[in-house]
Amino acid sequence: MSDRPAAREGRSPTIAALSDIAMPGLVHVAQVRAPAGEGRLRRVVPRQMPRGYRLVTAADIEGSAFLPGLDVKIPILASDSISWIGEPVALVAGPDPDIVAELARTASVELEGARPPEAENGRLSERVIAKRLLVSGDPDGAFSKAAILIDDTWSSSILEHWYSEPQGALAHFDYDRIVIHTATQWPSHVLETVSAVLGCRPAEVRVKATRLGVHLDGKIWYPSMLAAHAALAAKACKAPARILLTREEDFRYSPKSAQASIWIKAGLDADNNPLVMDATLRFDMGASGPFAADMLVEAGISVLGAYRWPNVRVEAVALASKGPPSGAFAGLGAAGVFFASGSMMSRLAETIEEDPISFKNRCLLGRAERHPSGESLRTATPLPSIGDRIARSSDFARKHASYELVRKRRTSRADGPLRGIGYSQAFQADGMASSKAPLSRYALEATLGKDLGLTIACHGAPSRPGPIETWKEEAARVLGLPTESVSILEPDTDTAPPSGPGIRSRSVTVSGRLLARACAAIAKRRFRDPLPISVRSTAGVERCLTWTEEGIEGQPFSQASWAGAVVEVELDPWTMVARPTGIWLCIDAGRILSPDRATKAIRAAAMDALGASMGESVTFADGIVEEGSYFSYVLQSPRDIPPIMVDFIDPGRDAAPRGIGELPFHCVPAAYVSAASQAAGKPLSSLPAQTAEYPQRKRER
Amino acid sequence: MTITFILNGEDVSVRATSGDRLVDVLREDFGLIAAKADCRKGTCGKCLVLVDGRLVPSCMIPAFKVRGKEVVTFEGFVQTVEYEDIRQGVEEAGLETCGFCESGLLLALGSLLDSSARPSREEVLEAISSVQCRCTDPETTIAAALAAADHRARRTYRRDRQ
Ligand code: FES
Ligand code: FES
Repeated sequence: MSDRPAAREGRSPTIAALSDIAMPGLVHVAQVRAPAGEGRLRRVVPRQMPRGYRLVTAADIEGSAFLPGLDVKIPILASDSISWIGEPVALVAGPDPDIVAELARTASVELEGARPPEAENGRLSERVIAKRLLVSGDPDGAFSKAAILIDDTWSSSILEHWYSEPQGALAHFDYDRIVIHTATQWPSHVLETVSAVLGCRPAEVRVKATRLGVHLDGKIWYPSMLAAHAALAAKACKAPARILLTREEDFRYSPKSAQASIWIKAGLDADNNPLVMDATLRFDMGASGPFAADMLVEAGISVLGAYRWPNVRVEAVALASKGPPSGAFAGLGAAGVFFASGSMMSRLAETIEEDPISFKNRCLLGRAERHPSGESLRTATPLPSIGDRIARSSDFARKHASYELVRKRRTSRADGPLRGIGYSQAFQADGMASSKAPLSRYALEATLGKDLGLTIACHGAPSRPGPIETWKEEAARVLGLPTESVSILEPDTDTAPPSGPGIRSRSVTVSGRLLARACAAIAKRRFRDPLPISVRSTAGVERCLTWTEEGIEGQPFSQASWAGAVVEVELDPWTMVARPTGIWLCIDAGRILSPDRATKAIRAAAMDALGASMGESVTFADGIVEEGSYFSYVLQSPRDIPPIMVDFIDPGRDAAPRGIGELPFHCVPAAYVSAASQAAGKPLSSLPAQTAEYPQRKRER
Repeated sequence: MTITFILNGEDVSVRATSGDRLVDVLREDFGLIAAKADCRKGTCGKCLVLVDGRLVPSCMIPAFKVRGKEVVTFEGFVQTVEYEDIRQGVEEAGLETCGFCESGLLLALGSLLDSSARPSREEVLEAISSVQCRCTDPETTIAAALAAADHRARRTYRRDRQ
């Protein structure tokens, strides 16, 4: 194999991109897809199969036909029943990518008992994948005593990850081993999958991770599936094989975020304190949800927030549909739920005409108070100080009151733009979720060599130059070495110990701790033992959250990071098109290793969160992604991004660093929607928020 | 057909069909992989190159269209003094990317500074809007562009005085 010489690419990572790897004799692989979302597969008949091209079906799988290690059974290639439109049923492999694509597209897939796609009515079926219920106090009794009640349904759309590079994998044989290259958050799972599918020993498989780029937690298990496809094709063709989805294929057929529909009825008592909440959380998981159980816990915790609800009933349901299986998408569905719960709290504040920040803060649980999940808070949340700081920096109270007044006094569109400002607060619980061992065990190996060079091997190591530098500095500091003598190996299953998925800021929260621990262990042995000294440091995610029939267990806030967001919005009075004019974020996430880099990361994530609030949405019709959806799915343009002010609360040097990546997704949408609602003078309850509906409704009246 | 053109300052020839896109020819035939073939519909900006000094998405250009023209890819651009200004600006601003659209982004900045020595914020935003980048924040890119403009101004001032 020969990786092409990397282009000189400024400060970008040196790790190869999948599409940049060239190999002599490489064959290209395309998926043949099911034309309907149900029925039994009878056979796949290619229109033609020229010399040098191969059709690979489930019959060619010698080992396991399903992805290993997940809660649900996902076939590598469907062989019997079909679950979703576009499900891979076969592969075509051959030397010319255009011919391969054409052969895959024109192959006839014969199904028995399938209805035509037009008969699919929307996405959601009533097939329940997972369901949870939490009842605390006496919600029914409490509703009869509530002085203030609100009741609404909030919905969020299906989002596309829009990876830096579409999903793919490359497989080739190296003597008696198969080597896989893929951009994955979970190399150990790729290894396990390929060895299971080929029916070979794990030692016969090597996985080298390629450059990940932006993934929004969408590259956890799906790269394992594509790695299996590439491996099957490489074996069938006896040549290196690469599958790389086109951008449009990736949009239509790779996992998407789950769609959330959240109904909440909430009541305050006569003193305007939280009394009761009843919520039903419904998620459209697509054909299957490998993380459905984790998502429901996350959702349950997010809808409750850190508020004092003496009486609650929360039901969370994951439902199946004919769309592609769902992925984790930056926060396991928490974003849609925080949007609903944040909007609900703002709605309550508005109803009682109280400033939203002070209302939300006075409803928070205090130290030692019991959360509805049953846990008592060990320390008070930092949200009150976050609220105070952000209110000062954004001038929230004054703007909120004056925009309200100005809107009420408006007489015509000529009065100028409508303005609104909204606040939302949220957290990023680190306790994902599953107590399943492969998902929660992490490992790192550090070796101090004879030349006093320190080598770090870990699947969760950062891949960008900035965070890599931060890791090197940290290791060098502990061992008293020059930074240049520290090197971090590229993720490779031959060098790094098996680990859980790099999800939810785990390179900061777990792998960072492992690094500190391994370096400290080496420092202790350094003058006692001969070099080289190798230390393997392992850890499990502490206190996984679970939601069983007994309720939610675990401590949702023990390692949480916290944030508040203010968004200010202006509406064009004629078109009612919204334009955000400012975003403020205040964050408490423990010790921030590099405030400058963290600020930039938060700003980039806030842009994405704004995109989800304002326009991004994958739409389905007849069980399949709508024709125009791919072309109309537009990421936020830099021109539309307002100034984003980021403020980190400094908890001191001793605080452990915690994750920050999901926080903007958890609090920007609700803040944006409450700002847009204030400006429009009507409650908005869906993402992306449709402010432009407003004049249309007026016309209709 | 055989197409002859200037690629990163060198006369080159390549055999291509009428359907071959410039981005594929650059990547497959010349191994110039900084430009990525992503959306293939002219919207993502990952395949941007300069053709006769104009910034164009190479996925939208049939290879034969560059016959007799001068093509500069990111690999060629990094050899120029103009890139040095951009590099310094990027480093000063701490602009870090995941690498997938970096070539398009920096070529866009280079092209902007060619047309406007002291670009305004709006001009920078306009220029970087040609690249759909999900991992950089516009403020940092603006800071990089303005710092690069400073470096370029200083360098040309020094050169003109000599
Ligand atoms: S690949 Fe050319 S613009 Fe996207
Ligand atoms: S460079 Fe990373 S998405 Fe643009």
